[in-house]
Amino acid sequence: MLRNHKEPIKSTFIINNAIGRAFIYLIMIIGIIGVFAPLLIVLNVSLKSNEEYMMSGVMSLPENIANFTNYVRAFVEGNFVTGFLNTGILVIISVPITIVIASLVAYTLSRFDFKLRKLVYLAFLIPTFIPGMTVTIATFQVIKALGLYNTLLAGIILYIGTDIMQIYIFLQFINNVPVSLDESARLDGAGRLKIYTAIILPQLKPAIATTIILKLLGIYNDFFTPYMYMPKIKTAATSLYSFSGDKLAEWPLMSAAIVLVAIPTIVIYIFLQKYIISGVTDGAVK
Amino acid sequence: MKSKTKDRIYVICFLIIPVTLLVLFSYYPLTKLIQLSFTSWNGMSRDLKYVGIRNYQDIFSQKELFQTFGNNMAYVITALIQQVAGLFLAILLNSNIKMKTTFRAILFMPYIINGVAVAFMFNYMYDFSNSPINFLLNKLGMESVHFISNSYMTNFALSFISFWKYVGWTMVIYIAALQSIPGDVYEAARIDGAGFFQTVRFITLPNIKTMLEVSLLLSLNGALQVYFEPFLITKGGPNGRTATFISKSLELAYNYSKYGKAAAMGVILLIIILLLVAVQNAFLKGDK
Repeated sequence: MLRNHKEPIKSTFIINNAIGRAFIYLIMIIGIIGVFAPLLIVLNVSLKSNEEYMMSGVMSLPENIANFTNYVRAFVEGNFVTGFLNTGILVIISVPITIVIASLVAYTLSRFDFKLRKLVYLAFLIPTFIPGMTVTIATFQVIKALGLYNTLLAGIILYIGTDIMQIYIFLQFINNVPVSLDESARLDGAGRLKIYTAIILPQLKPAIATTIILKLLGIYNDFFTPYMYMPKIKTAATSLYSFSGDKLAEWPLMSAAIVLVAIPTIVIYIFLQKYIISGVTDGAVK
Repeated sequence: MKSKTKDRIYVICFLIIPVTLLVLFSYYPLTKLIQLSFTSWNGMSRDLKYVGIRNYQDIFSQKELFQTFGNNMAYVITALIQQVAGLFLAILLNSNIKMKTTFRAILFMPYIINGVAVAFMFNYMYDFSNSPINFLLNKLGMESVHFISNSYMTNFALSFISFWKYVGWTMVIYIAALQSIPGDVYEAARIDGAGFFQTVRFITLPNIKTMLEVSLLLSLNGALQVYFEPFLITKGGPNGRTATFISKSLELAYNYSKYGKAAAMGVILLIIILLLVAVQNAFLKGDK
């Protein structure tokens, strides 16, 4: 099911009266204020010095709109270089491996005929019903036993090993690729691996693109995995958490750190929002 | 080599790593969790001492442990409100107003913002003396509010954070569901002269029943597993007033080395969630 990303929302309700329409716009405006108000307040405060914040408070505009002192301080004192770098490493390593592994499993389940296929399919399906937070204590023991505690590998292996939904998303796509394509390639002498690289992977392109974006957002925004399994190795999210430890009362500085961590995904969203929204809905509707 | 044998080798090669990961990070933790829940393991000792069902008895008899479920209820209620609000927004955006896509994009945005940043942003909004909300209330001649206090309402203040973050997500899911209703169904209703509320009740809701159930299940699931906001903002305090089932269980394990009891709490929550899934599946079957 590939939805056209440019497709606007079809209207199913025709609202003809002006009052009804005004009501809808009113609700939307309230919603938009609800979304932006806290973000803009934090942005506003982040551009003020401590003294200025004490004197002028929350609402007035900053004296100097280009006062980035708090940002520089937050960036340096919060050691965000390391945080962003570690998050980057996690993304760059886990995302491609997840895609290769999940697409290979989906390819195997879709195109190979073997005795245990049904069983393997079920084996991958059952864990999607296990809520992740409930088994944390036991997963922690596994990570420790493997000697991965407090290493980047802990995050990498968990991002790869627990993303089972990805297999089903790819499986949906591969099942829609006609088997006749495989067969004609086989007649041309292509082997199983060649069919995977030359036929299956190109067909998966849109799904892979969505996966890259969503997985990137997911890893960037994840707090629990790095905090739990690699507390000494800071990511963007856990850097912000430790920064808050002693700076929580210094609101302008803290606000700058909040904005610093919030900005990257907002920028990505501004450019890719259509793909993100359709990726999220496709994943959930299935 | 025969192609059948070759295929077998491919299957093994393609599946060996994923299946190993599956066993290591899904099945083994699950069995380990169940095993630990019957022991008094402290996280250090080499051998496990089995204590039968004592951990479970403790949890059900110790009021403060089970009370955490009461705190989770605030999140459940908020999750229900979120469903209604998300569906409401989706229905509004499914009408013939202008700038629908822009409205949808803005309302969805909180979903993609880093959760730690969002939590601390609200921590600021809720701060008693610095709160911008209290500032506005004071300007309007009202008294400041203690958003974070030892009253039960603090749980609602915390659960509102996830409402803010996820209501746009709920809306987007419902928009997709509404879009799948064929247009001629609405056309027929329009010709029959059905009003807005009639259309919603007799056409929209019955047609998205499956999605309603799935979305409800997902958000209940999230509300029962919540841990993030209390952990970041109140640490479950004061006096456990904002501790949730998961945050309490993690605290028992990592702060008090009571792994057995913590594992039993995990098992209990797991059973509750699986029951919810089973109920939902029964409903889905009944529909078909």
